[in-house]
Amino acid sequence: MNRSSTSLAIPALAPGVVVMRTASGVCRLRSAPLPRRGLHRLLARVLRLPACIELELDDLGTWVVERLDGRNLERLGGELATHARLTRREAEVALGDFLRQLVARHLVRLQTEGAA
Amino acid sequence: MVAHASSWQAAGSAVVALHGWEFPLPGDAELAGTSGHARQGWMLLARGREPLARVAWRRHDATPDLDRSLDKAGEELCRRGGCQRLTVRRAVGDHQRQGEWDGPTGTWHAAVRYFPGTQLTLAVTALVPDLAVAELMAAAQAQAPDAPWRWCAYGLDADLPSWWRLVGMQAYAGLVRAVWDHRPQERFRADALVVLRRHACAARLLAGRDPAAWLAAGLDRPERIEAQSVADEVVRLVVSRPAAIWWQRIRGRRDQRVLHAWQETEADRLVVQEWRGDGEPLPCLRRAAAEAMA
Repeated sequence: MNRSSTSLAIPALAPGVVVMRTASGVCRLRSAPLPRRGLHRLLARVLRLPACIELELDDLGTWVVERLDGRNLERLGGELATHARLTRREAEVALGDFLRQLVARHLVRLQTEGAA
Repeated sequence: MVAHASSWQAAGSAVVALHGWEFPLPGDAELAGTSGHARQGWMLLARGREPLARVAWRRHDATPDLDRSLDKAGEELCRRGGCQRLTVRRAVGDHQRQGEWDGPTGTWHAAVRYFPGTQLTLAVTALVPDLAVAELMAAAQAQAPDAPWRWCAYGLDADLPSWWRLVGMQAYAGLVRAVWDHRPQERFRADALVVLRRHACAARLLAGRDPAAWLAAGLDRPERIEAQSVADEVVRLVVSRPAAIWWQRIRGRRDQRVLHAWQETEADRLVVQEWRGDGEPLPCLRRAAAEAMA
């Protein structure tokens, strides 16, 4: 993926991710059960590691997750700049960092436009 | 992708002003990066993800050879644009040269200008074909050494006396920070520092508090507030802490910091100015005219 094609990528919730709402109205994401096998599974049971990753977002993170409906990164960055009154560059960097963290936690994945 | 200038973009962002000169920005362009110091450096102007122009500055005691400077600027154009030869060389007065190079993708422009009295030479090189840099160079200005220098970049906009030198400027997503120091008689050690921080999402940062309460909450433990005032929506806080040097601390001396904070409501930014050091603290550097433009 080069830089120009990255902006056309479409972020979407990963399969099996559950979106819950807290009492304050923000989103709480729960990933699908993590695939573990063999020794990894045994260690997870012994150490009582959680089966899923859960993440509670703030209002800005909730705003972004609510818009993971087929919008590509470029459009999402522009809307974030408008919503949070940031420059375009700031919005893109902030959005990129946020989505990178969600991808690392298996909560979001990036799709190319053709595959969406 | 074109980055459209929004109404909440930095106030006064039609120019970039650094190190004693001002350079106009082409429409929708923004400052993408800088490097250097008062004597020499360069900056990159971009529009969205497209680099537009490179502006280099240099101060030297001798009068520069502008034709040679223009040829050197053209070397980069020839590498980038595949140009073969200089097709037009134009002299505008005694202190400016403009050049055009024909390449397979268009005409590439460069200009060099010397500002007598300030020992400053600016050179602008277009990074895309058919970008008219002559008008930009004609609008550039150099500030006199004995007049206040304007500093305008990444949304910061302040006037400082010319003896303050920029130590560094960082532009992160959501925070722009610039540090100036004052070195009397070019000593190694600075005797005063000024830091300007421009925070994004001021409403979220303050979370309903006023800037004075926010500043007070961010003080270090040994600091105490000596004085606090509000004037023209600018909060001023004078804080002190035990001296950093032990023999001064034993004598009961306290180091002082003077903080100013104000909000740019239109852009939802919070600007904090911090001064520390010896001598008379700087007044608030907020530019009223820039606020009105926003």
